[in-house]
Amino acid sequence: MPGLLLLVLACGDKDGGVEIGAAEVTLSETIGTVATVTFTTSEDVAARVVYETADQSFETPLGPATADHEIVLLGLPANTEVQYQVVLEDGTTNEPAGFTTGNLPSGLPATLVEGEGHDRWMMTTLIGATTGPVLISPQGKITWAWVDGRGLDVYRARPLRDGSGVIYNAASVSGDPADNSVLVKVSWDGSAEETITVPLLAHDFVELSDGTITAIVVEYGEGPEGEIRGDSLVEIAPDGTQTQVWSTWDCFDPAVTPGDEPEIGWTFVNALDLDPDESAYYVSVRNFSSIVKIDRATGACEWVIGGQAATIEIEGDEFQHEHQFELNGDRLLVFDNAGLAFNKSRAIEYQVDWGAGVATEIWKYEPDPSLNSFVLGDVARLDDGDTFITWSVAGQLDRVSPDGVSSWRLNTELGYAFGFMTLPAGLYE
Amino acid sequence: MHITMLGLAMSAGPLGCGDKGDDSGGVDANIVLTDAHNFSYTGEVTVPSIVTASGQDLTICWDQITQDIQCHDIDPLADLDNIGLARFPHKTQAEVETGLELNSLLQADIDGYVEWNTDHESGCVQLSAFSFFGTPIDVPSQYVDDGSTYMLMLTEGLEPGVGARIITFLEPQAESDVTDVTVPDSCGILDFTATLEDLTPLEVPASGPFVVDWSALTQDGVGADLLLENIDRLMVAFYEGQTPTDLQSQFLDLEIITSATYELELPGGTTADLADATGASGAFPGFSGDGTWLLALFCSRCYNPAPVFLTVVSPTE
Repeated sequence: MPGLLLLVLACGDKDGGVEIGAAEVTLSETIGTVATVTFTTSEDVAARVVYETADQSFETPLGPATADHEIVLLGLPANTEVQYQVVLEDGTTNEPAGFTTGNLPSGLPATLVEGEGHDRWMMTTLIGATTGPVLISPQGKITWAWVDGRGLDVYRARPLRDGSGVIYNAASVSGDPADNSVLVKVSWDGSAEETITVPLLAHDFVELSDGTITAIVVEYGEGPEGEIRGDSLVEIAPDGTQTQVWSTWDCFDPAVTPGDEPEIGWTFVNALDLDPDESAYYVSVRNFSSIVKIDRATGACEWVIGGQAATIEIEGDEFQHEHQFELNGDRLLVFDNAGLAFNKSRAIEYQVDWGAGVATEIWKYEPDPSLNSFVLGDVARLDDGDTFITWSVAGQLDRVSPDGVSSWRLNTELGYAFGFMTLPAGLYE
Repeated sequence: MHITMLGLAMSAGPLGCGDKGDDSGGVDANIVLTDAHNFSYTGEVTVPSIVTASGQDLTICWDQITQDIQCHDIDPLADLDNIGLARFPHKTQAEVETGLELNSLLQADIDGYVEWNTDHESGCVQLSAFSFFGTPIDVPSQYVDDGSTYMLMLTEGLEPGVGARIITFLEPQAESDVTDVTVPDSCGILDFTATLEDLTPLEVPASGPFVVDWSALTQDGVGADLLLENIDRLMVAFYEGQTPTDLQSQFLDLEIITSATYELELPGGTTADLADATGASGAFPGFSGDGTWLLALFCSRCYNPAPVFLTVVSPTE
């Protein structure tokens, strides 16, 4: 029997089965691509919504068991007809219905896409003509955007682990760091915004599984000739308590390891990753051209790969003034802002022999014609072996095969750069 | 029972017990804009180029400027908020000019950008004072004769690249010893020949409704691909006693010679109700009077100040 008949039967009286009440769709007033479906059921039951446009299908995760349901639909393009249907955990459905999405905030860039086959959602930030976090579909369309009007820069955005929305930083690394920098949590529909004041925020932060946020925060301290600008890691617990868990002074002595650009600071930590088991942090120390592993419990630096203070030396091309990176077991992938040559950036990968203390270059991607992201920049290794590269300042995203061919590329028009990149496992993950 | 292909549901007929949903995102438009309604123009951008010393600090002065790209008068100290210098490593000056004409330049086309926010008092600044993200320019290595194209933009507003009123190329050459740069007027950079006579006038009901839909537009006035996402402003303007022929000869002044102007900031999307447009005399009252009405759509973030769409309105009863 075709599914349509099953659907019709499902929404009638189902011989004692769960009944689905009338559903309503509310579009976000500020982000018209976000729709919230509300409905009731005759019993507490988990439900999801399946929905589709003319060329895309989506499915929300099962919500909690309840009789009053409120399910947020994400990933939709603007001004697009959508069909949706409620599906209960036992497969019971209501009748499909439709709505049309509204507008995204104005001031977003046009995105120009070449190639196909990209399959990952992309959460990043816009810097420049418009500032704020955005969610980009695998097809390269901005489907969610939040414009931050604080006059600060936004370098990193991540989906909140509880699924309620997005967290991003509003900070400044231009000249002196901002006293009024904040972490911002915004709900998907834009109706709720929570700010956490963290003065002197730098580029990056991570969210731990318990909701703790760890952020890079500029710290001023003593140097050989007076006060200098170093960095720290600050954990912000879910109850708001802020605790410094690491300082660059814990591991390095500015008299011994002075960094290479004192005019912008001593260490200039610019990127932060979290070990999968949350026992360690990894940071990029730009002015050392080094990447450091930090024991989360003790604050001890376990190793340093790269330039100054290195405990693991590079064999092959070295990276310089790097930003984001990714450690996968004994493979280290780095966005190398300036190691190739002046005004040319690249992605470079090393095989690390922990015992021998050597990181050997095994792969790199140097685009032709060259690109330059003199700040920011991000890399990620995808499941199929491709590498996703965010050329932040150049406003370009590339999915590159192991043999160095870009199969998918996105460009922004002049005036729009990207921050760091988060690639969620799925639209709702 | 389990969910099957929702695709079946999409082709379903009348809805059953499910809810119809809220159709609030849709707008019923009665005025549909098409490419045939759009004006056409040939626009040539010719940016002046100033040869300077390579790798040496420059003194850049803009206090002598009197007119901007659109040949409108400008107070250089009061009106200009930011001076930006962008480097295009793989494009010639001619290619950049073409990019400006077609609004086709990408962020990836530049590999360096530095800027200086004006203080509205001084009319000169050293190139070495320029910076971005807190990193100052290193003039000896970053402003050099290496084949790159350097474009200096003086803008109104602080957003990089937005609101350009003055543009000039700087051209570092190893054999030059010029370190003083006097930024010239930008009047004459744009050579526009606009045609309003050949378009298909847009028929609209004189007294409304005036819900406009521009989703079908594909090309701007110069024939380049039109990016709907870029449109952020709508203007309806009346020119008393003027004909389309009169207006096309004053194309660069169309926004300042109106008898009445009604504007609407667009939050995105592809529809708008002209009844929401407002001007000095209040809300748009409808089309009346002896003269010419124009309807235009703009991209305020585009380098080319020409409207992406402009048509002559033909009110009907």
